[in-house]
Amino acid sequence: MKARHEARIVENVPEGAGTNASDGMVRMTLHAPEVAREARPGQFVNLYPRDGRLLLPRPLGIADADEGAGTVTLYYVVVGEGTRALASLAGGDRVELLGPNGNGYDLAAAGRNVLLAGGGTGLPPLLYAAKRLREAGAPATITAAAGFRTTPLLTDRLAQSCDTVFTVTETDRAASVRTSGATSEPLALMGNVIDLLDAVGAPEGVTGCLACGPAPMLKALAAWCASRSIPLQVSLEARMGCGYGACVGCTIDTAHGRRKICADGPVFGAGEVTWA
Amino acid sequence: MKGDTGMGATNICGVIWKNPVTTAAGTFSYRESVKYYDPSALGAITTKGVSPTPWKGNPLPRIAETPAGMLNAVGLENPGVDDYIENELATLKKQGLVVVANVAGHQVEEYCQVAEKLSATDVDMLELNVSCPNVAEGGLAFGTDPKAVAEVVTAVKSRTRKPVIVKLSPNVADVVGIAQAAEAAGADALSLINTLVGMRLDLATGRPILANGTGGLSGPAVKPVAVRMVYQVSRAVGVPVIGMGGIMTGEDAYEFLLAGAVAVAVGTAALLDPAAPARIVRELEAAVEKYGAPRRGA
Ligand SMILES: Cc1cc2nc3c(=O)[nH]c(=O)nc-3n(C[C@H](O)[C@H](O)[C@H](O)COP(=O)(O)OP(=O)(O)OC[C@H]3O[C@@H](n4cnc5c(N)ncnc54)[C@H](O)[C@@H]3O)c2cc1C
Ligand SMILES: Cc1cc2nc3c(=O)[nH]c(=O)nc-3n(C[C@H](O)[C@H](O)[C@H](O)COP(=O)(O)O)c2cc1C
Ligand code: FES
Repeated sequence: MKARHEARIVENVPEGAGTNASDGMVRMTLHAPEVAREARPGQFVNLYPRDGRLLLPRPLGIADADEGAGTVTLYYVVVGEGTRALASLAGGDRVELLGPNGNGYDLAAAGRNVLLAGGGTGLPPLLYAAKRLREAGAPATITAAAGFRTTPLLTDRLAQSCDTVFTVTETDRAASVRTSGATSEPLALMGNVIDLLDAVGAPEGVTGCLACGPAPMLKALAAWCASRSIPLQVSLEARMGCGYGACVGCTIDTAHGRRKICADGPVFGAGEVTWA
Repeated sequence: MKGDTGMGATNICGVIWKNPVTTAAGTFSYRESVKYYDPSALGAITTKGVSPTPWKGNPLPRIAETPAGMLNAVGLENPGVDDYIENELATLKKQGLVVVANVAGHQVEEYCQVAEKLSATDVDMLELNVSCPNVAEGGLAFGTDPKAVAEVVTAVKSRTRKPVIVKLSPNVADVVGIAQAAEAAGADALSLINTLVGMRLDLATGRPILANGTGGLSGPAVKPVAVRMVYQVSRAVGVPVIGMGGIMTGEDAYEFLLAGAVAVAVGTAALLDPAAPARIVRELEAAVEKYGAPRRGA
């Protein structure tokens, strides 16, 4: 049976040049063979900080899983007490986790020309989606649009599995680029993911969009995709009491009635979500 | 026997639990929790509060963390008693489980409607939630006034032959007075504690983190309050007392039995570790072995 269990931390290190764990993003690789075997893009794990004060799960999207090595990789931004406690752990330490949780993206339904759209800490699940789409060999093209408030994160990793990655920030025109393989060209844009998509347009022949990011972005993206008839799957976020479907802390209205983000989601068809 | 704590079965109001451990209402999912442990390891399954019609509950966020505890303001979201009977109850009874249905309502008549519908089913016991702090009317409003508690208990008892457990609120000055009023009105058993009303503010905005403003505090942070109340109430009433509030381990459960409870419920611990209720059954068995059958202190 699935269970909360301890996993050995292989690596827990700052991600990105010039950042340190206390104020940047951290990459954590865990030796968790059962999770690695089952993990699908869009699923998440609950991590539990080793601190008797902090009891609730920290849900983190699965950014990579290597079945052979038995490892799972996560990327998290240090935003509060729990992520700070997690960042203080080192390789060789142990952390408790539960997962993989949730349903994950339906990659097959996204079709052959896939658009990935991510904002901020929404990037990790898209990394794994891109990798799996690439491995499956089916897609003709994978295009990613990534938006950030100030500093782009993980876009270089995303570029490894995507044909094209568009990056934009809300504060720095010079940070906006179009990356294809080894070449980058400036876009001279400032704004959010929707501004970016408006500027560059929908990829030609796009068959589906997978997205993860803050709720306002996803809502705007739902409208953007709907007006272009692009099927969209969104990964939603909520404060979680359990992260596995027992507390009813995370429910939303959908076309099929009330649904739990943690257990029935976090991925929903944009058309089935009742946007607040 | 599987799930036997070494203390034999527990008879609560004529219903046999094979051990004295159940789930606390609102922390068990008949679809999800069973993926992590076999519910037949427990003495009984207590299900989430159910109302006459579907309730949507409170807006999100409903959950906030507090030191060694959590605040919830779910607001008793549930699919209504008809759906409950058809799906959750049917599924659990098919597995041969002892089921305690937690009953919610805005008015006395709503509690009665639910109780009446459940009377026609094979549910084993009812637990009246007169202590939920997260709904605007009903719930806590009943549980803090001895006369109101008596009124709802009397009314429900007149409409059902199922054993009725009355779940008490810790948000009162005199929990013993409320307990005695419930017993006098015909409660077959009492359970306590429900959550303590609390609040957390967002430092950046100055506003409450929970959309509902306040929420109910549960988890290890509330355990000493719960033990104290179980201790006081079990000495003041003749009916069985089911204890809960912050039970994380078998030793915590044992402490509630020492305080005077005949059975215990595991809530928040199960949210943090889905298999906690089954683990606590095993740990309680070990505690009984270590300390002996729980004797109520002087
Ligand atoms: C399905 C899902 C996947 C996620 N994936 C990632 C990821 O891959 N990388 C990443 O950096 N972040 C991710 N997040 C957000 C991450 O869970 C929070 O940033 C983290 O829990 C904050 O914990 P804290 O103790 O540092 O913050 P605090 O604010 O101190 O946390 C207090 C409580 O609020 C909860 N909380 C705070 N912020 C959030 C939030 N944004 N979403 C949900 N719960 C929150 C915490 O879990 C905790 O229970 C994800 C959230 C969800 C729901
Ligand atoms: C998420 C959540 C939902 C709850 N829902 C109910 C409910 O529907 N009915 C009820 O009587 N109590 C409800 N409670 C209260 C618990 O059953 C229990 O009395 C309380 O949480 C204290 O126990 P604990 O510390 O083990 O969680 C809920 C508690 C939580 C945390
Ligand atoms: S977080 Fe508990 S049900 Fe989703």
